[in-house]
This record gives sequence, structure tokens and C-alpha cells, in this order.
Amino acid sequence: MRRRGEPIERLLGEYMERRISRRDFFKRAGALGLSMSAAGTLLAACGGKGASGSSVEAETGTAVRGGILREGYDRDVSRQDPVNQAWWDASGYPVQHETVLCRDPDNNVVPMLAEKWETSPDGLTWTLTIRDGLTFHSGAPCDAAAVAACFDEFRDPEKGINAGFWAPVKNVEASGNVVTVTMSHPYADFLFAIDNGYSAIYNKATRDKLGDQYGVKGTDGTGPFVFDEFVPGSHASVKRWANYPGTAAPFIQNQGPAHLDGITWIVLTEPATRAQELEQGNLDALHGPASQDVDRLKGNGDLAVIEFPEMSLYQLGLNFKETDLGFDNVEVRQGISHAIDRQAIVDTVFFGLGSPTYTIVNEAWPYYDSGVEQFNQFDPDKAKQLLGGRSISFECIIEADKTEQLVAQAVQQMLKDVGVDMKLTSYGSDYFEKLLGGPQAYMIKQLWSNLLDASLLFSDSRFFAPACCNASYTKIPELDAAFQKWQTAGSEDELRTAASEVQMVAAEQLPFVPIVTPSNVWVHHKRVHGWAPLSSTLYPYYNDVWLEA
Amino acid sequence: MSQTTATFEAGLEPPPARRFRPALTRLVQDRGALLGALLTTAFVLTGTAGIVMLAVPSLQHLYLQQDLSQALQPPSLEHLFGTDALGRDMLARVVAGTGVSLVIACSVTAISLTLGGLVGMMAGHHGGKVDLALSGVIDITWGFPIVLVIIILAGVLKPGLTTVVLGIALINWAGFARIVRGETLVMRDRDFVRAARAVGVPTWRIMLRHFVPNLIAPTLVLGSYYVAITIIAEAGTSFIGVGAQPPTPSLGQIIAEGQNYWSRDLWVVAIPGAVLALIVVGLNALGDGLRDLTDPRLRSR
Amino acid sequence: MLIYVVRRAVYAIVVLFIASMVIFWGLRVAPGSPETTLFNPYASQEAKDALRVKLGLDKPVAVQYAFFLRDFFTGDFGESIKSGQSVPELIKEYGRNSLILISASILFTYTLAIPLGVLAALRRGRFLDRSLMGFASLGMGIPNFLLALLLILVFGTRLGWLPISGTGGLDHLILPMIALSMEGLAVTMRLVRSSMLEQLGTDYALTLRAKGIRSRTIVWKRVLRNALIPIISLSGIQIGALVGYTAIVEVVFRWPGLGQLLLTSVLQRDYPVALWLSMLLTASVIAANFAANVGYALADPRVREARA
Repeated sequence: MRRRGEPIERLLGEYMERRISRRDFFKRAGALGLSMSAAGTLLAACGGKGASGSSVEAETGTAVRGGILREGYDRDVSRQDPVNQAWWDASGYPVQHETVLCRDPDNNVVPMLAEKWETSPDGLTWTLTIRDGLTFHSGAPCDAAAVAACFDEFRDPEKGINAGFWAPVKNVEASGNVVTVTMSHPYADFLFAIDNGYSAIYNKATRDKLGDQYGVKGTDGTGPFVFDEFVPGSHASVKRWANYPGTAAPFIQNQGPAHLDGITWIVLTEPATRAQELEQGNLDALHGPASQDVDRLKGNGDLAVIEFPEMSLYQLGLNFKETDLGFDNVEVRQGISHAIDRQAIVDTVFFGLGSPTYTIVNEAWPYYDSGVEQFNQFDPDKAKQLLGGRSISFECIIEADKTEQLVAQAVQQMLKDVGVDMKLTSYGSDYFEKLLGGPQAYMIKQLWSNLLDASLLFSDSRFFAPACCNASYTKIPELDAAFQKWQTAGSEDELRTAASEVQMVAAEQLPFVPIVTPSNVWVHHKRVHGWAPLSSTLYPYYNDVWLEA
Repeated sequence: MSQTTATFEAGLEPPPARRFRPALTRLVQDRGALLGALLTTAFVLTGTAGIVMLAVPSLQHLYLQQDLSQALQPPSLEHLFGTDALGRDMLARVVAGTGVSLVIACSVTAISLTLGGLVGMMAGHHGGKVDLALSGVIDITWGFPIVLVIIILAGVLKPGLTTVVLGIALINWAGFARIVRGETLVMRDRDFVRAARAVGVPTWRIMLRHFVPNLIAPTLVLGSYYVAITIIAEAGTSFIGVGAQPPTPSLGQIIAEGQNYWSRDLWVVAIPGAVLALIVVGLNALGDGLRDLTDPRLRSR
Repeated sequence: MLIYVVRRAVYAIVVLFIASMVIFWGLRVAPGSPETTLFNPYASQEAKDALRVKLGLDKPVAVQYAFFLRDFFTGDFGESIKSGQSVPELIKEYGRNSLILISASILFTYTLAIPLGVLAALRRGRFLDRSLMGFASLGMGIPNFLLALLLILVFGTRLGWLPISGTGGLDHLILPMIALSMEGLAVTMRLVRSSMLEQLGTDYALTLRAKGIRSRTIVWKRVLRNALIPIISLSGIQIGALVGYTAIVEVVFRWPGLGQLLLTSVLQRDYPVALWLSMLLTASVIAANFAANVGYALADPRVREARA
């Protein structure tokens, strides 16, 4: 019963940590197969009183103003330039910049800069109404024109790094408070394009003026904090914006300027000492302590540990062009998939902080279909049978990341046990060049809040390398068709249905072999209040956060 | 000891040649040197076992075989040094890692000695413009920090053991060339060499019969220090990620992997660390002993 | 003497020039380039191409090298691709941190090594001498990254006495400084000791003793001064070597110095930073070497003649 037990445990945990509402607990427990009474008994047994509908502790009445939050960050800080960045940190979004919409803890799309949005019945026209009287940090107005200017830069292939996701957009117009976006076909997926840090709204005039120094010397967004310092390799910091008018997102309780005076993110790329920095008191909060330290942190009464599945997955791509290896044969791919004991990897490499992944998205993703879990279970006998006595030997390229190397080595052993010889070569900064050159096999960790769209880039035959990321030349007609439905879906229901279909096809046909998803682990000192990271984004919203005096 | 100071100390005074037998007796009497010799022998033996394990395919499973259910087990009867994060036997990995260190040490030293010896002899023997040019190159190179070279090379080539070997050899040869050159200069002006030359004995034979015997002693001394430097440089660069890449079990690599767990599973770092330290201490002690043997004026006991 | 200095200076410049070509060419032809390392890998091909053009990477290497030389002479060192900060500023900031660490290390090394080495020489053969020399052997034997780990474990984690990473105050400096200094300390201590012993055994020291001048005066004035000469010429080289070792210590302690900057910029192909920083470090090693040679020549006239 292990497989079922785990998600329930996790669900309980989420409820106990007040990250989901009671209503959601029952809803999801039902999806997991628990009856209402059983779920209720569970709750009672754990002594859980009903949480309020919000994900934040209802203590804002006693919120203290002031203090600087010191947060440990497990990556290097990057330049916070929505158009042109490699990655977005918390300091960029949601702290200095905001998006027109965002997602709440239940993954529903809610207003942020836009107070409402509508789609025309044919799905081709989107109307976004921007709130009145918004300004950027510099004082310039943030109206529809400002937002439209950003959209135009996002969709310009020469500027916007995610222009690919704006491809269906034919035209963007602004008038007064209203932005009108015209699509060339229905595109309900547009919501996923605009709800993340790659589509955060900034002041184009300021950005033009600062040029390359935007995000380095300063920023001009609408978020509750303003730029203070940016020192790659060391830290990044922001200060409260006194004129913040508040957010339209209903789940954020503090509807005015932030409680905190400022926030500093401290770069801690070495996992070995991360947890200690928190324990020693040099930090108030930490993202991603090393997995082996989490148990110890959980036992520390001064700290609170929050854990939930990350929007990421480790995947093994097998090049369809390698026909003598049989990678174009779905049975071979399935054989390899069945050889992998995903749970064992989670238990050893991630110390139990993670979960097996059976398709191109994981359970953190909003429209995850748990029906995929019938595929790709660990079964060495079945693996051998599917592989049919072939002797396969191939080279797999991996990134020079310690955790990924551990996962790869574990998989290597498991494949050896069924007679498949996988050789590993580790690449550093030149990994992507090698990837887009069509290796025999590759392993990578994907991390993005739009997990399905990201996976699409790796598995849709429209995106063969080197134009983009389908480095294994995957061509599965059923999957391509399903992706088409996803990208032309016009309503949320259509999106859900299409998403289900994509996942199920992918789980069975394996454009790439999904392996595991690590958990996202956040730890904070108990003197930090209102600090609630969401699984739908990558970071918490800091407006509600306050420090005990 | 950094390569600069090793060369510096050894080069303060060119040592006279000595016969071997009394030297050996003195070596045994010097307790530090004896310890050094023992440790070095242990290193060579373990390293050889490691090389065998690395080279023979049927033995490779000893250090490669994972057992995920046995990950991070403390030392026990079954696994004398415990297991690592993927359940591999630490004893086998440490032995294999020692093998890697030995291979690197030998190859780098071989290259350095050959290249350095040739260049040094040429410079010392020919003199004039040749010497000017060569000693210019030698002087700039021998003080250069190895770690920087390896980091830059890792950017130019690819992080890996070849890069490490290349980087270390690129610097080490110069220190040796310097000594050889000094020695050659002294020898060149000796009467008997002049006489041999006047009589018509070919250069190479002069070099072989007269220069080389005098070089054996400083070679041994310098050699042992350089091997230690090589091992430290390789371990250090593997540790920061530009040296050996997994799954190659170099000692520095094993320490780097184990370092993530040292807050709860100390042996994964402590054991390879202790082995590394012992090897280096042994080599240094041996080098000291050899130097004391060959130049009593700088005796440290 | 002047000829010697000039000749050494010419060498230094030539080598620097050659090194610049090697480093420049090497970085450019190395696999991996900024648009894949520092850019979002999902970025569109057009955006990546635009970056290449902007950085001038689409031109042949020789032309790029010419631009590099031009930049060197006009003092235009460009900006980091990753962070956008100007390279001189970056180097200044990180350089300051490295300088602090190195200076502290040098101070620590010589302040301890000289008295301890003298002490060991004076108490030769006795327990103090043996233990100091044993300690020195260990200091030379333990690789500095291992020592760094050990220090972090004992003083940072178990005892919690000192912070284990970053800058921020004198207490942050202590552990990295010790890790960096240990080898130099051990070597210098041994050298001081042997140099002292050599001086104490010379005829004039014995003569001085025989004449009855107080021991203390002999030791601390004449003998010491002579004994330190080789140390001084060694120090130039030691400092040059230190520059290399700081890289490892900085990485382990997360000390934001030049070594760490070099590592990340080279591995991430942040060309402007990697290039100018490599050049700077190469130049400083060459300069330290030059100074050491001149110092050595000043102290020992034989050296100048031997080069003829």
C-alpha cells in the first residue's frame, strides 16, 4: 500500500502546515481514494483543527513591521531582467516585479496586476484589464501601454528568450487600462506563459536606459520591494517600497506595503554547509538544504521544515535515431524504464525527499493525472523480457552536477543489472552544446513552473535540435497530436483533458524516460512568520512575511 | 611543500655525489626517513593494487558495484571502510583512488624529469643564447601556481585527469630543469670534462658518464617532493571539481563526494583524507631523509 | 646589475604576451560559450545569435585578439556577461577580499614562523625542536583543502566557535587564513631553523661567542639578519605561490575572492572576466617572480654572474 500511503501522508502534512485548506484536503483525499469519513477520521486522529481557507497563518493582526530577512539560496543569484535572464530568482519575481496574473496555493489563476481578464468565445481574443493607478518604482505609470510594451518585447524572437511560447500571439494592443491580445488560434495555455517570472512586468523606458545594466545596477518594477544590491557569487538584496499600493491577489493577506524592511538572499552553492548556516543563526530561512541534513533540521524545535514536490524532474533521453540500439522501438524504451527502481533512488540520493516520476510532468503540476502511475513501475523481469535479450551499449551525457551524477550512476547500475551498458560522460558549461548536437542519450534535470510546456520542448517533433531542445529526435505521432490539442485548447476544461491525454501517451510511449522528482524543501526559523512557499511558483510571496522582534 | 620551495631548498647548494652503501645505512638510521620510506612503499603497493583493479575489467565491479540498500554504512566487518552514498565499498574505492594517484604521479614525474632533464642539460651545456632563452622560460615557469594553470586549462580543454596531468607537468618540469642546469654548469667547467672534450669524447657520452650520476641524488630528493606536490595538486583540483570526474575514484574526488555527508557520516571523508595525508607526509619525510643523506650541511636532524 | 634587471624585465613582458595569446585563444576555442552557459537554454536561436554578435564572437579569433589588444591599451575591460558588472569593478571588489586573505596569511605565517624557527634552532634536538618539526611535517603533509574541511568541522560545526563561510568580520577571516597559511608556515619555519643552524655554526658566530659578547645580542642581531636573507628571497616566490592556493581555500570557505571568481568565470565561459582575470593573475605571478629574482640577485652577487 506504499504508493497510496505516501501521497496521503504528504497531503496530511500539507494540511498540518496550513498550506492547503480543509476543503482542498477533502477534495484531494477523495481523488486519492479516501472516503469522506475516512479522511475525516484521519484528520481527527492527527488533531487537525480546520485551517482557514488561506495558506498563511492567520497572525497578520500581530505582524511586526521591520527587520531584514536573510534567506539562504542554493543557486547563484542572476541578473533580474525579465526579458533577458537565464533564470529568475525570488528577488526578481515576485519581489521586484509582478505579473499580470499569478496562481494561488490551489493553483487557480488569480489577479495580480490585472484585475480581470476575459477570453472571447472563439478563444482568439484575450482582454486583460489592468488595475487603476498602478505605478512603477520610478513613479512612471504602469498602465495597459506599459504592459503591452513588455508583451511585445517578450514575443520578439530577437529579444525575448521565451518568444516561442508567444508564437500564437498575433497582435497586442493597449488602450487606457485594457490590453487586448489577439491569437492566431485558441490558446488557453497562454495563462501558463504569463504567470511566471519570464513574463514579469517592468518599465521599458528604464530598461532601455539601463540596457545591460538592468537587473545589475537597478530595476524598475511594480513589486513590493526595490532593488538594493546585486553581487553574483555572494548575495542580492532588496528594500521595502514604501509606496507599494498592495496586490490584487486575494490569497495575500497583507494588502499594503511589506512588513519587512528588506530581504537579503545569500548564495550558498555548497550543499555541505548550507544547513549549518541556518542552524548557526546566520540565516532566517533557507531554500534547499542538503537532503541528508533535513532529518536533523526537522528535529530542531526552532525550525520549521516545509516540503512539497518540486516542479522539476530528472529525465533520461534516448536518441530515436539510434536504430541499431533500438531506441526507436517503444519496447526497448519501456524495458529500460522498467529497469529503474525509482523509489530506491529517491531513498538513497534524496534521502526520501522526492518521489518517482512516471510521465513528463509530476504531481506538483496543476493538471497531473495520477493514472500515469500504472506505467513504468520497477520490474526487472519485465524489463529483461521487453529488451528481449538484446545487448545494448551506449554513451549518455550528463551535467557536471553532483546530484545528477549520483542519479546517473545509480541508473547506470540498474541498467547493468538487466544487461544494458550505459557509459557516462560528464560535461560542464559545454553541456548544452553537446546536447543540441544529438547525443546517443542524455540526462538532464528540468526545472520550470511550466513543466508541461518545458517537457514539450524536449519531446515534440517540431522542436528537433538544434532549433531547440528535442535532442533525442523524438517522434511520436500520437504525442505530437496530443500536444497540438494542448496548445490549441480554448478553455480550462479543454486544457485539462488535453493535459491528461498528453501525460498518458507520454507515460506509455516514453519520448524520454522520466526518473524522479526531488522535493522542494524550505526551512525557516520559527521567528519568521507568514512565510509560505507555493508549489505553483518557485518561491513564496514575501508581502506577508514578518519577523519577530 | 610547494614546488617552488622544494626546488629552492634543494637548489641552495648543489650536492656532491655519494656512494650508495653508507648512504643506505644512514637512511635506515634516520627514523623520519625510515617512516617515510615505509609509507611510500605502502603507497606504491596499494597503488599498484588499485591500478590492477582499474585496469582489469572483471575486477572493476569491486569499486563500481552499488548497493543502494547499503548506502552510507559505517565501517563493519563486511565493509572495512564502510560504504559511500551509493552503497559502494569504500575500501575498494580508496584503493582504486590510490591507484589513480600513483598513475598520475608516475606519469607527471616521468614527463617532468625527461623534459626538465633535457632542457636543463641543453641550457647548461650550450650556454650563450640558447641558455639565455631557455633559462628565461624556466625561470618564469617554475614559480607558477599549478592550481591556476589547471583551472585555466580546465576552461580551455575539459575538466578531467588529462587536464590535471597536463597542467602539473607543464609547471613541474621547470623546477627540475633548473637544478639540472645548475649542475650541468658546474660540471661543464671541471677539468676532466674539458680534457675529455679536448680528446674528442662525444658530448652525449660526457653527459651520460659524468653528468647523470651526479644528478641521481638531487633527482631522488626532488622527485619525492614533486610526487607529493602532484598528488596534492590532483586531489585539490578534483576536490573543487576541475580534476577527476565521477565515477573515476581519485582520492580528491572521493573526498569531494563525501564532503556532502560529513556532518553525519564522517568516515566517507575522514578515511580517504587520512590516506591522502599519510601518502603526502610519507613522501615528504622520504624526501627529507634523502636530502639529508646527500647534503649533510642542510641536515634537519 | 642594471643589465640583469632589464633582461629579466624583458623576459617578463615577452612571457606575458605569449601567455595572453595562449589564454585568449584557448578560451575562445574551448567548447561551450556564453550563450549556452549564461543564457536560458530554452532561449530562441535568434536571441542566442544576437548575443554572439553583440559579444563579437562571430568574428575570427585573430580579429577578436586584435580587439583584445586594443582594449588592453585603451583600458576598456568590458563587463561580465553573467552579471553585467564592469570587470575592473568586479576585480577590485574580489581582489580586495583576496588581498585581505593573503595579507593576513602572510602576516600570520611570518609572525609565527620566524620566532618558532629560531626557537627550534636554539633548542635543537630537544623536545620543543622535535615537536615543532613534527608539527611542520604535518603542516606540509596535509593538503590545504583537507585542512580547511577539518577546521570547518571542528571549529565551525562541532564547537561552533567560528563562522565557516563568507566575509563579515575578523572572525570570518580566521579559519581561511589558517588553512591558507599552514603550508607556508611549516616550510618557512623549517627554513628559518636550518638557516639559523647554519649561521650559528659559522666561524664568526663562534668567534663572537668566544669573545664573550652576550649570547642574546649575537643571536638577535647578526645571526638573525644573515639567516633571514634566504627567507626574504623565498618570500617573493612564496607569495606568488599563495596566489594559486587561495583559489581552493576561497572555494571551500566561500570567501569571495579572485580564486573563486576565476573558477566560476572560466567554467561558465564568462569571457571578459575569465580573460582579464587570468591575465591579471599571470601578470602578478610573473611580477612576483621578477621581484624575487631581483631580490635574490641583490642578496647574492654570484647569481648575476652565473647567468652570463
